[in-house]
Amino acid sequence: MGCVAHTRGVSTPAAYLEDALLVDRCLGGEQAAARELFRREHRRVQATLYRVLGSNRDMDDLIQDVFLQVFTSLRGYRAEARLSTWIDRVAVRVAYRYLAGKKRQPIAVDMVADEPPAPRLSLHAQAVAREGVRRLYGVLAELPPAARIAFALHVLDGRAVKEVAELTGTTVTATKVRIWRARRALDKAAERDPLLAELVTEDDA
Amino acid sequence: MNRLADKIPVEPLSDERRARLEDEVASLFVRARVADAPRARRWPWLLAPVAVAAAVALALTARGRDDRAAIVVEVAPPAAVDAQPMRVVTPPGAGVRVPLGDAIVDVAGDSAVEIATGDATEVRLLRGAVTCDVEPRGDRAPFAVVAGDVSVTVVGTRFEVARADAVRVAVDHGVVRVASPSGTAELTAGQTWTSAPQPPASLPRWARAELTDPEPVAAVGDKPRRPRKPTTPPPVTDEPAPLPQPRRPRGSMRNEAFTAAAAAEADGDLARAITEYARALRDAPAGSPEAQYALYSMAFLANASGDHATALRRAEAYDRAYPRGIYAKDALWLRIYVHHTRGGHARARALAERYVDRFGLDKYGIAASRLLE
Repeated sequence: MGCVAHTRGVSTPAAYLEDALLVDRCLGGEQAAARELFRREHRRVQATLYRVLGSNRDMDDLIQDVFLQVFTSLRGYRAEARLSTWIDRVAVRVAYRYLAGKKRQPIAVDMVADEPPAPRLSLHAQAVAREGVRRLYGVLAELPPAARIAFALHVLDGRAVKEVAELTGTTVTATKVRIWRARRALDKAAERDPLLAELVTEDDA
Repeated sequence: MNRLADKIPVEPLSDERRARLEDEVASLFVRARVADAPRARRWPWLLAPVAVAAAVALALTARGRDDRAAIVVEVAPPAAVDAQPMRVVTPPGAGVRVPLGDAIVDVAGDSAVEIATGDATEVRLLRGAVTCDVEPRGDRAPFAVVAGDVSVTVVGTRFEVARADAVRVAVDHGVVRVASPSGTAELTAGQTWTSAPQPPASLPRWARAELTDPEPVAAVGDKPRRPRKPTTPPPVTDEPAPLPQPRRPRGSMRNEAFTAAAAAEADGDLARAITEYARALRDAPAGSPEAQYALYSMAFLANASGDHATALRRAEAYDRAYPRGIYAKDALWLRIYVHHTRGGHARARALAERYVDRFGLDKYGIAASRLLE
């Protein structure tokens, strides 16, 4: 289950200035700035939450929760990281609280999309993916929220371990341990589940 | 590509759902009243250094400027904090209210007290004055105020104890028992008692602090003040000498926004000046001296108007955008200064180290190196 970290939120000087000015406008009470912030960030927020939760169920509430927390904490944002990174941290915290509140109840994976995804995979692959993903999130649902989030952010969302550690407010070592635990649980489940094994092992191929 | 991730595409939200969400989030923004949210309170002058630490949750509530108990400090139940006393130092003109369950202690401005809770509550008055509103003790834990060799034991009352050259006790209602080397006395409502002149007290370092917080009880919505002349930072630190204030950017720029900003500054309207600098920043070519001047000015004026969080954010943005810019030293020093004077000593030291590494021992560098000692 290897993964490749990809770069997010290019950190150019102009980007930092853009962040600072947008935050200033929000703090000035400008509603248009709040909408601009939403339009700029909501896709990444949704993607982060989706990777962790495996579903768009409750997504509207969660996204609203993320942005409410962003707005009420905005005065504390100190530009020590990109605004997008800071918002990611808020999204991860919201996801954690949501999962902790669920007390490890398996979350039904809603594979009915709002919009049909682009047909990039063959029909067979799509069918395998749908069922495999459902089972994958079934296994993840049995894990502690911290392990589930670390795994989802690193393996499913492709973030570097260091970035996951920063987002979850823990050490790199602890993050590695969490990811390893999740992988071990997944590997064990895959031994008994050929479909899940296909999803997982193909990833290693 | 990450193959597993590729097999789990994120299902996008429909345009309709996204638009509805945007409206709801915009509505949340209005309800959250972001612009009116109180700024982080300036409380480093409220000392609880070795005392309550993590056991005490501070909830600071702004009240009127003239309200003597302008800040409310909520402390944890006595059982959680009885290991070590809580220390409170207040600057002149700004009191602090400390609710203690069945008692309220109003610490007057320019005072230093130590409050120990547990089997009994003892308020040690090192200087200044406290007013205590205490419910009848009955079976409750004893409550006493100790000022030097004078001890005031509460039966259930409201009273004031002030300590200067002598200790003065004034009872508003109820009964207190005063014990001093000259004997004991019981005071009832309306009575006062004054001790013999007290020898100068030998105060611990924390209680000697002369606090000069610029605006400890500023109400939300107060107009920003004009930039202050350099003052000594709050000496609630181990620093032997004051740090230099960040410098105002030098020179001036000639265009409409800069002219308007300068005029607003001259009028003392820092908020308008910042708005004009923001306009100048948007209009200026990226990386130009004008853009740098505008951004650093925004950071400087935010600090001058007391919005330290915003000042830090803008100075950090400057550092990220122009690490070798015209005002790079000033922006980094501004961050060090704000962190240090607001109680963020660890962060200030880390930035000071960065400053010395990057810029050496110039004027700010020498001051920064002091923080590293």
